[in-house]
Amino acid sequence: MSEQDKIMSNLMQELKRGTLVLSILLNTTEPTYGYSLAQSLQEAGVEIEHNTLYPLLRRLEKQNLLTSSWDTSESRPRKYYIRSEFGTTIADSLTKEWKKMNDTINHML
Amino acid sequence: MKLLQQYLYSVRKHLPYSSRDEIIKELNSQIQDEVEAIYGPDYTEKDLEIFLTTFGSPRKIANQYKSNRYIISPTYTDLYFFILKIIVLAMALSLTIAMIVEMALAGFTLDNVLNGLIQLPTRLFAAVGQSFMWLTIAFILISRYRDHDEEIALDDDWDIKEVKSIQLGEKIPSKLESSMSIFFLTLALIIMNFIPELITLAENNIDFAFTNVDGFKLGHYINLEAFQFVMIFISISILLDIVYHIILLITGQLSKRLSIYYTVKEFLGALLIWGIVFYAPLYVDYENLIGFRAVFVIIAVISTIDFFAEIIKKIVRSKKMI
Repeated sequence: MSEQDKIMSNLMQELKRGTLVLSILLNTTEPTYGYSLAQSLQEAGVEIEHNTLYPLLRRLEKQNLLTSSWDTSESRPRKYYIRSEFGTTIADSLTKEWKKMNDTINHML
Repeated sequence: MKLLQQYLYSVRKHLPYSSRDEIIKELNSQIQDEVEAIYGPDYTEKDLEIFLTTFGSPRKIANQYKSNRYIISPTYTDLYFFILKIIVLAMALSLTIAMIVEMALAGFTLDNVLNGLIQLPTRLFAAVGQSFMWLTIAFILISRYRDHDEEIALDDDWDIKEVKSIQLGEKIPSKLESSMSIFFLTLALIIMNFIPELITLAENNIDFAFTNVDGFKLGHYINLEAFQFVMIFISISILLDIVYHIILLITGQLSKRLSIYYTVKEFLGALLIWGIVFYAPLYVDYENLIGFRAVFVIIAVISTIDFFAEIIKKIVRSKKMI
């Protein structure tokens, strides 16, 4: 990997990291478990390592942005996450900020 | 699958104490979902091995659930406060009992009661301070050594063999059992050290019950001066027991090493009790054949049976494994 590729890769990672929380909040309006959330994010074009997603979900739950519940009705118990009321408020504010930032950058382009 | 259990066990050791169970449960589903998505529902152990190798070392996975580094690793902070609470509670209770017994022995006069009430917070402060210091030092050391011993495993080219070599231990006593043991052992440790007079009190009461009947005296009373010396070994034995339960809570597994520690501890404990039975300076007034010494004889016999039962259990278990 050339020096330019390395720098680019790092910057891309930072850019993506900044949008991860918003992406998760926008995709948890219905109860969803980690693996299926990772699939839907990937289908939407958001690359996220599963090892990063699960700890992030726990962190968002601790911040009360998500709530969770265990479904033990099937052979494999699964933890389902859903956006909380507080999470919805934060998601709305973040979306507004995102749009503002997007406009700002577009004006510069 | 055994490999998955070995892997999860290895991750578990490095996770924050309070959320271990839930993270492991979720990780278990996550890994199975992912392996099935790649290799189908009938995946083999080899498929799982390839998957886990690229998934990441147990330490690396666990570290993603932690925040920053602290003096006491986040893996142990919850447990540290949990044990501290148990010890403080046990100390408060035992020192209060000690105060009441001392008052009873000296007589419930206003002076004695006031004196006891003034001394209680000072004693409690000193005892809690000492425990706090030793427990903190122990946890700092545990954080340092246990967090460094597997640093190599953090590399991306970690080897699955590290996980495969893990011997999954025996089923461990519940957390509640260990917590209760720590509580009552601390209680016993303090009461025996602070109020050895309780023994004299018990002797007097037993004697009183007998003499009331026919003037009978038990004899073989405890010489409190000699008991102070014996108490050093009893305290060490109790501390070894407390350490055993703390390690059980930390690791969440009865490893082979801990199992050996337990057996050695049981052996030393039985040996100590027999030592107490035959330590002549510990007893005065040899009026009967055995007298009050019978209490220690009974404990010694029970400890010895317990020790041999443990040894037989271990032999049977090892034969089953072969």
